[in-house]
Amino acid sequence: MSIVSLPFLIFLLVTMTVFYICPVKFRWGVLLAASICFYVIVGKWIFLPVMIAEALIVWGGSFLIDRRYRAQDWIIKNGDGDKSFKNGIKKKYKKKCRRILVLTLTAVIGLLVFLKFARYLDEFLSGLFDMTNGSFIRAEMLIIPLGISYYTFSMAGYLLDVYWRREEHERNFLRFLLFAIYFPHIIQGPISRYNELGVELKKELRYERTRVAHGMQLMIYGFFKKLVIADRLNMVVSSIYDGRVHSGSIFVFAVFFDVVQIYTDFSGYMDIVTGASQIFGVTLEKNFDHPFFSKTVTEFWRRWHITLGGWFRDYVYMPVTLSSKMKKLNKFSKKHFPQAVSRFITVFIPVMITWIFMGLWHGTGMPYLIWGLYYGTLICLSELLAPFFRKTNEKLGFRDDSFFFNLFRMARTGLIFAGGRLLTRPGGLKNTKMVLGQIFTDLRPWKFFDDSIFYYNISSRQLNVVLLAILAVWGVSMLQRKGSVCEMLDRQHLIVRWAIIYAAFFAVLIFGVYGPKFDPASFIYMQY
Amino acid sequence: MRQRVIDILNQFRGDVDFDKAEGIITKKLINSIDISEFIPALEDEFDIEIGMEYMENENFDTVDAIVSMIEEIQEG
Repeated sequence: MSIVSLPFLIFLLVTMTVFYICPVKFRWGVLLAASICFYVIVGKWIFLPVMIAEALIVWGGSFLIDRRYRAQDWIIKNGDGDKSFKNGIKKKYKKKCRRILVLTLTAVIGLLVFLKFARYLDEFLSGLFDMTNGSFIRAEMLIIPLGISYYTFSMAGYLLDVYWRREEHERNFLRFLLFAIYFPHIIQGPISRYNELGVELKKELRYERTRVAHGMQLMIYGFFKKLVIADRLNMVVSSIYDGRVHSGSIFVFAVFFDVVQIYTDFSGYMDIVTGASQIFGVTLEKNFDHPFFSKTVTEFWRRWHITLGGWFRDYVYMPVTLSSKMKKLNKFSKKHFPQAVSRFITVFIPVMITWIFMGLWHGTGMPYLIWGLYYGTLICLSELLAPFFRKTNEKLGFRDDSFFFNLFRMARTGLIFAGGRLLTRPGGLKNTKMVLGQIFTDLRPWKFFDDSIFYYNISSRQLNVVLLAILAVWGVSMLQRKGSVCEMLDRQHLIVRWAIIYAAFFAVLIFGVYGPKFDPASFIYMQY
Repeated sequence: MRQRVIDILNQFRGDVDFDKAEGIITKKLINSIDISEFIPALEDEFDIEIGMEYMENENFDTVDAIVSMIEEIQEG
């Protein structure tokens, strides 16, 4: 069952009916039951015990850490108040908690790493032991449970917060399980924090007409992005990136369409699940904030897949930066090197470590490692050279509030993002090299204007529809920067409001890529 | 103590009046790379260790919040 299918809408309708029939205090139980059903229906049944076992391990770890902290607090409370006594106790209990944390994280992150790299391990071991009749690792063990990267990160974040005492231990395991398995976020995020989603799920979930209506409107917009734009472009992009040599101009089309596709695919998914969650009164964390309006690559990653960037910032970048080894290194470099070199070290190491992990989170091959290094290097350079760029811009008379200068900066950010996509999308670095070679040595620019693109799974009419749809999404994005579009709709005359909603609905029905002839493309971010 | 905190902040952004500023983190008056240098600078200045448990926006969003956090750490 895909979330862009009729069965999903039926599932949502049934869940919604049962949810609102049930008394308020049992509604979270309905969401838990529905989420378990959803996870089994969408994935394979075997994924469920793996997921529940992981939740149990993390919850167990959190329980044990909490018990030790309680013991520590009790001892300090009943002690003589001496500072060195307090610090001694804190140190002792912190050590105990750290041991539990490390064991728990090793189990859950270790499983994630094993599953992600099992394919390579299998190839290596099969080669080593000359397994001509099959794999070394059983095929079932090579299947990656649906959403494992997302729920593992959500749960690991919760455990670290409990360890750092930024979060209270959740005493009810089923409540914790609901946080982890909640169906709108389990497959593709957002990577929720317990202090956000956990709190939302504990609220009294009451019916509110406007909120339900806004949720449904957001879902229609998400379906529009996914079915009218993303899935149509997927057919074109896949047919161009087929490993064969095409003219440079066709590859330029592919680069542009691929950027639009991944944005409409991922943000469309987010709109659908955020809308679905809103129907139940649960607000999901924002995962997109109009990234293509970003003026720098650093800003882009603050606005694209926000929850992933936030996770890496809080649980990788900051701990690395503030680790005692890093602090010692900083002190050493400040003492022995010029300021520029010392700042380079301070910035470079944590940023590169974070981005290498970011790359490996997205995929396990060499292209993803290079992708991580690509962004890490660009971000380091943009931060370190910021003063130089500021001075140069001042000298050249480029003002920060200049429309055209900002347009140039946004286009530059878009190009950098497209460059990153080129590393991973064409299917291997060999193809990336071929695509770049064609763009720079065999562009054949007249092909931008003749009918060449129509040989790649798209007709002239379909292309016009997609371009109009992109324009519509851009228009909505401009409006969203001013406030909630749903609220703007509410303020319109009844006829205008419904005309717009129906137009969007019928646009999905008429122009969307769906039905028995088509297999809706999996969401790109589902594979992670 | 307040002035010492402001002086350190001004090393990163001399163009901001941190005395009255709100949203030092949430409004991105200093970015995450600045924070990675700002925190060790605070630790050196006040001879404290700021643990991960304090890494929350509200502890760094105003000068008053930073001062309260330092006092809390100093009291143990």
